[in-house]
Amino acid sequence: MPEKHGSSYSNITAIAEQLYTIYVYPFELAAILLLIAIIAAITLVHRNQINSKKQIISEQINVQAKDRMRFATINKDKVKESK
Amino acid sequence: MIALSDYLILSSIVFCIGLAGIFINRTNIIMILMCVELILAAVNTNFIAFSFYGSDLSGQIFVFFILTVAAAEVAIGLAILTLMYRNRGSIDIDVTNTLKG
Repeated sequence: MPEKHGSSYSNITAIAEQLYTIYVYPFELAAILLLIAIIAAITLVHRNQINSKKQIISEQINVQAKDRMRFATINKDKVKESK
Repeated sequence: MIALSDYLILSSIVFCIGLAGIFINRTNIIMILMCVELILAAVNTNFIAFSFYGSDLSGQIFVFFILTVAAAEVAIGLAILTLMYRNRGSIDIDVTNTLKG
């Protein structure tokens, strides 16, 4: 049968007294575990912003001329006709 | 006064619902996560009931830690599910057979 307590007994106080004295180290470990869970969840789900203007230097250095320039063939006769 | 056996019956019912949910529902991973949570809740109920009737607070404190682990598990599980949906376009268990285990 459960213990009978007086009206001044507070369950929260009793739990807190044990939690912050005997179980301090497990309590801190639980906090660290939650922190790791937060970091893991965010690193898993977070993706780079698409419209980010971040400079990627390796891409800038490795760029080739053909990536940026396009040779277009223009029909001379058609250009003259339109004028 | 609620008897100890009432708590135990309730927790065994919840546990069985969770277990049956895992075995019956073989398609949705979110359902399985929820069922695991149900099982953990049943265990927590047992812990609290025995702690109350045995006049030992350690059981109730242990429930805190079980809740912490459950929260971490669900956070990472949902993150993995989100990733899976992005990569596969589906969160069915039938699709998760690429490892051929």
